[in-house]
Amino acid sequence: MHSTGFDASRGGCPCCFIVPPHMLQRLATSGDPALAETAGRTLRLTQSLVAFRAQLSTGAPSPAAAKREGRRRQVFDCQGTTDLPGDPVRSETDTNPNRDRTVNEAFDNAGTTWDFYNKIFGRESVDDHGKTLVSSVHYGEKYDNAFWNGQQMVYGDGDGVIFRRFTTALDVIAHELTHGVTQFTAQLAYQDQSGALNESMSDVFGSMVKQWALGQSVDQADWLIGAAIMAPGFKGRALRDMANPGTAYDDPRLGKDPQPGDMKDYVQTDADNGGVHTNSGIPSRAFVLAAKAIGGNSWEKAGKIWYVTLTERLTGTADFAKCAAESVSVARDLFPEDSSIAAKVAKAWADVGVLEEAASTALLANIAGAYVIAPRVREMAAAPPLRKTKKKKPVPPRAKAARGTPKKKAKSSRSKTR
Amino acid sequence: MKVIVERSGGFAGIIRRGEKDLSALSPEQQTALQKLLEKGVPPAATQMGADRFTYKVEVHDERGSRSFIVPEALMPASLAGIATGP
Repeated sequence: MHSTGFDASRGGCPCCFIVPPHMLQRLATSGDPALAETAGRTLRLTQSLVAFRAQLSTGAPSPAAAKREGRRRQVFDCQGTTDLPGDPVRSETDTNPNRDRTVNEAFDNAGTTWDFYNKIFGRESVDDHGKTLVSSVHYGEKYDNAFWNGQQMVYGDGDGVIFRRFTTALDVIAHELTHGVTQFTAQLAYQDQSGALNESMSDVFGSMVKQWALGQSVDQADWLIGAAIMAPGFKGRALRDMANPGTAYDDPRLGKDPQPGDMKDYVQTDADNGGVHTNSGIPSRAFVLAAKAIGGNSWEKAGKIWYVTLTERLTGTADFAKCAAESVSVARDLFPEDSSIAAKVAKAWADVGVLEEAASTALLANIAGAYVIAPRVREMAAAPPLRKTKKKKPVPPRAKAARGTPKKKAKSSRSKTR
Repeated sequence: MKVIVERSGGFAGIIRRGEKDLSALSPEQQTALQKLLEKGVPPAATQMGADRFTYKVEVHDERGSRSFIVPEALMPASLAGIATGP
């Protein structure tokens, strides 16, 4: 287990402020218009987050807090700015749709996701205490992204060439909301393997919510992420294909889908917090393999195993091996009468190279029936990253930044950036 | 003598990369880059939330090569635009 910069499992906040408020204040008055504007905006957001931060520091509301029941949703309109949350445009009490379909999509898809977590897992919102689901739409100009900012969902309109508006896809909205669930439960640190697990969980439940809404079995599901937000100018089926990582797109401008589906192709990179959107392909494919082997509807068994693993077993620094071991253990606990289910989960993790079938002599160290953690994965856990492995003496920011030349390069050709 | 800006992360996880000759920078870009070179990036814990963009700004000039990792919330818009091109 390696350091990921902070340890949410030891009381660290998953919603860390990037910069202390006093520094933002200084930037905000620094005289540089661009920096000042950004810092001022961040500062305002920071101030609005202060009260919220206390709640998040433990990842959940205080146990004494009353558990609110029932859906609560609010949608805000940023009107092309990046000021959050924007103007209120729809809330739970508005039964009439808004004139703006983007507003209604954010509202309806958040509702479907809320219903899924409530009806399937008995969960009351992302924090399990009835937190209002807040969405802001029309963020920025032609903004090509959707994100979870630590307290709410934010959606761009897309550029119209590569991306359409992000609210149109249920899997995208369920993906973002699942980041909220993760923040209030496992608090998976957003870096390297724990970050890739964080991303994978969002894709797994994002796809699962879509399957549930459409009534699709594991054999009917497309396992694609983001298919509905791709504009005509995009050459591909979707952004990610959980069943076949690395095959979702091949676009002359954007390059080829870089996701690996096996541990041997794990991508070492500095970009994207250690490739969290790339290496998520490995655990996501493990879920698809497990769900397909078990059969039926993904949310009934495989989904339940992943949900309990995420919300009760994993902590901030969990890596792929930990997730594999815990999910097999959860499968045994949830389905004691049918040991084939745990075996199918273990085989799925073996098929993506995280576990491997054990020789009988290795069974003493066994974590998952006939499987042990694959040597490649053990080595990575023992001697990881290229970064942050050594304690360095503190250096002034300027020296630190100036020193930051590009590091290592990956062994896999897939890690090459475009 | 150029600046390379790479944007990674975001929901899509697609890397966008662009570069511009230092002599071709707009006054706004020059100011923002100068500020970055002089002050660096404030020490960051981690970016808030999930699916935000992360930028890497590489500067190659007569003093050598330097690079900075800049979270989306602190990235000057004028420099961010270099990653996605015109």
